Amino acid sequence: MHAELTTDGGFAAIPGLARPVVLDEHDLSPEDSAEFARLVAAARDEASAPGPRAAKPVPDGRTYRINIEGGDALRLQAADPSIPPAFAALMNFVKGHGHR
Amino acid sequence: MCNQLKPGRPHSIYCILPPHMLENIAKHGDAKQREIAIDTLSKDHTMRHFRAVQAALAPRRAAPMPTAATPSANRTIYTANHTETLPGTVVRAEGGKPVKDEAVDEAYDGLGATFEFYLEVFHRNSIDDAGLPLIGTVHFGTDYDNAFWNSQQMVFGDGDGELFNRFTIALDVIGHELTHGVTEHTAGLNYMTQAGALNESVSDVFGSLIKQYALKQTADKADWLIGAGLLAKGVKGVALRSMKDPGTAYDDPRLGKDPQPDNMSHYVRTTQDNGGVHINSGIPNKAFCVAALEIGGHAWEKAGRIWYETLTDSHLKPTATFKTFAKLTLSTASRLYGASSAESAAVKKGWTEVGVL
Repeated sequence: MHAELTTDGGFAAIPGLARPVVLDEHDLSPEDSAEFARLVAAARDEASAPGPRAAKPVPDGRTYRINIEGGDALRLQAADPSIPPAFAALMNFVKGHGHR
Repeated sequence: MCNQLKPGRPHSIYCILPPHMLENIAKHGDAKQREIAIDTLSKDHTMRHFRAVQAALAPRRAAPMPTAATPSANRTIYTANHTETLPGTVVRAEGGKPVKDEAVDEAYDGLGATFEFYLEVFHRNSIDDAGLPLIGTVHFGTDYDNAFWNSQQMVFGDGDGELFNRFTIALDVIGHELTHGVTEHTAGLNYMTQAGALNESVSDVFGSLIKQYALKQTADKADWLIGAGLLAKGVKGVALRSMKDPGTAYDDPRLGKDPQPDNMSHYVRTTQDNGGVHINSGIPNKAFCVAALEIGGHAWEKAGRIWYETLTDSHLKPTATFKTFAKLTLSTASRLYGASSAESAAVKKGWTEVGVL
């Protein structure tokens, strides 16, 4: 699997921060790869569960998008200040293990 | 308190006129009479005159009047303790002593400075003009490089320390966030494309004016920067935006180059950032700065008044474009100061210089 995290919005439009963070599971250890798969599955379940629609962007809030390719493709989106917990966990993992 | 046409020469007729007559002059007098009448009304801080000022500034939107005898700030600062739970735990309430946490005390002082600015300059009683309590949360998230307004409160991150410092460090950033609330309660400018860039620009304009007011700076002494001090040591830049010279605030290997245009000929069409609301705001930002510098003196007194009365004008629609906003500022300047006044010419120069008119 391959993940790409993009961020836009925020107090200022910073081109350097808008560059996507990418993560390929081939670059991960077996333990991290398993954790990555678990987080993707949890985020998928969270997104498919019934619940309120995503709120519209708040002024200066950020919008986050995670695209998963390979296996079952997945496109997720969330915005400040309402980041669902499984989305947040996956986002933090991609930030921590990926690169721009 | 009496107004003065020139220093040392009181306008006695305006001192003795009852508010309803001043209101009438403010609505129907010539430009100079209107200016003096409004100013006279605005300088009396009694509630009677406070109400009269509100009534005189037609065609502003009707707003509920405060019930307290003297409007005062009602601030509460919370900490999210590095989580993303809002509002968090109370750390300083109105009247409380400093708590020796820079972010908490800066947020408290910044909310106070913003409240004072809107009350003293525009006689606006908080964000909603009805005394809305001001809530801010600091220490939001972990290394969170941002600040935002969520329709109920302000939220400030600590920054990551590598690219950004804490977001409470700049008074104009705090004023910017609160002004999003003012816009929400007045024009309600949509947060996308040109209306969104106007929404952002209005927040920058009043954020900068709040800092200038606190420092008692004239327009020519102001730095016209948004977020000075926010960039961490080693980052190549001076702030997040420059209203005077959009596109020049930073140029850093990690952040990239400040993408703001300073003219409609370089307007950026993008699907990112809600249609470039933080990018294209450079255009109306510069228009305001040019007008304020052309008028001279304290920018909040005339240029700021023109922008504020435009923002609160019922003719300003949520879908406003740069051009419709510009035309409305011209109309406001003409109403306040006269069509052939130096102030109207300055506003026109601002919008012409950035290619909007």
